[in-house]
Amino acid sequence: MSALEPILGRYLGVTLKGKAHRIYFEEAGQGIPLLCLHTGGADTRQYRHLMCDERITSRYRVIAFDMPLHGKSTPPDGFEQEDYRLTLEDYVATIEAVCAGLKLERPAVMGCSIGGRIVLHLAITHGHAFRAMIGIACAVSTTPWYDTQWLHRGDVHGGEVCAGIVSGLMSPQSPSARRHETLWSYMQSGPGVFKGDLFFYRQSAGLAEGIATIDTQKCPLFLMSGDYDFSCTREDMTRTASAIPGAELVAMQGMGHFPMSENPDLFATYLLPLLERIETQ
Amino acid sequence: MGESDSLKRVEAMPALLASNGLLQQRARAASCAFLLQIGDQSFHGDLVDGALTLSPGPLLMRSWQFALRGDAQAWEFFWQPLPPPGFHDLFALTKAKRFVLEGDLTPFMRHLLFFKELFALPRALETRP
Repeated sequence: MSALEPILGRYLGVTLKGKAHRIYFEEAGQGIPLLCLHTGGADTRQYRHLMCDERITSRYRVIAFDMPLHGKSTPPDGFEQEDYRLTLEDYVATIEAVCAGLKLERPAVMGCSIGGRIVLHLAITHGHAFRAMIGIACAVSTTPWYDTQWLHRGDVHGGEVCAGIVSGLMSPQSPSARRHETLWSYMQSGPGVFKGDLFFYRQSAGLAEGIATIDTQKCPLFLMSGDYDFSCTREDMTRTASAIPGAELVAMQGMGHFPMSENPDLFATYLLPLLERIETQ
Repeated sequence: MGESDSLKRVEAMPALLASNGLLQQRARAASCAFLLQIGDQSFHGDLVDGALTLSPGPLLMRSWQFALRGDAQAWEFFWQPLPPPGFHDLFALTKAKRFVLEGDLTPFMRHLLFFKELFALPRALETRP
């Protein structure tokens, strides 16, 4: 038996911080562009289920890209000379470069964890450039619960410890196969990449002041929260949603920190109504 | 569920490990001594060559590398086949300050996925005939 999936993958050459980057992206479907941003220490594979869901791809052009150093995006020349740290500026510049390179016109954007945190920032500064925004597990402030030094040490296997750190962020109700597939991408992440991504997560915790200025009339903002996510808790997300006039919180039950990959079928039941509204707005 | 049920679950852990070939194989690389505390009752755990031995504690002057302590009720929730949110993961419970991890965490973190599975083994008891 064989079956071709509708997902197509290509590389996009862009210049970031004066250096040539080779960004891997995947897409499927036709219609409203929907740019999907993966979590820290992971890659586009988290969105593979969305890209194979005809209920979505019949109306949306779903696009996801691997951040520099993630997945199949080639590390820039000289990366070995630097201690990787994702900054707010670099993250925004990467998203802008991908949107420009792929000629995306007012796409909808959806991101999870660090990908959701940057969605909040884009809502503050770039609301005009997007049709709608969906932030998953992306409260403006969360309580740190472990020492990130464990993520990158010569005497601890980085892939295994990164997977071990995030394994409990998923719901025990999510299918075992999907949970382990989610962990697999963490196990394959490059040394220090997850830790470098979390630099942004902790640096950007100062967004709290800006979020009240988000204009949800111009660009609707949906926030999605899983009840098993103890890192970005329901309380954290509720606090963030209530600080943004017009933002809507979607409370997912039996769900953790990685909805699109840990339980794509259940996630679709929450996401489809939002996409329907974005399409008809 | 009372504290005695919790203790039965802990005491079943060595046999549960021994009956899981793949987990036992991973245990062989994770030899160490640890302390497990359920409410007022502690156990010294020794992992040697893939086998776990548990001795009721405290044994005076017995050393351990890391300790995992939690209140009995939190352990009971943790060991339910489908734990409620916040009780489903060791780190969820340490963040909530219901569990405490202390000592030299290096062996624990080196074999994090293994130890998470080891300490969750008593969940299987609920579904046993």
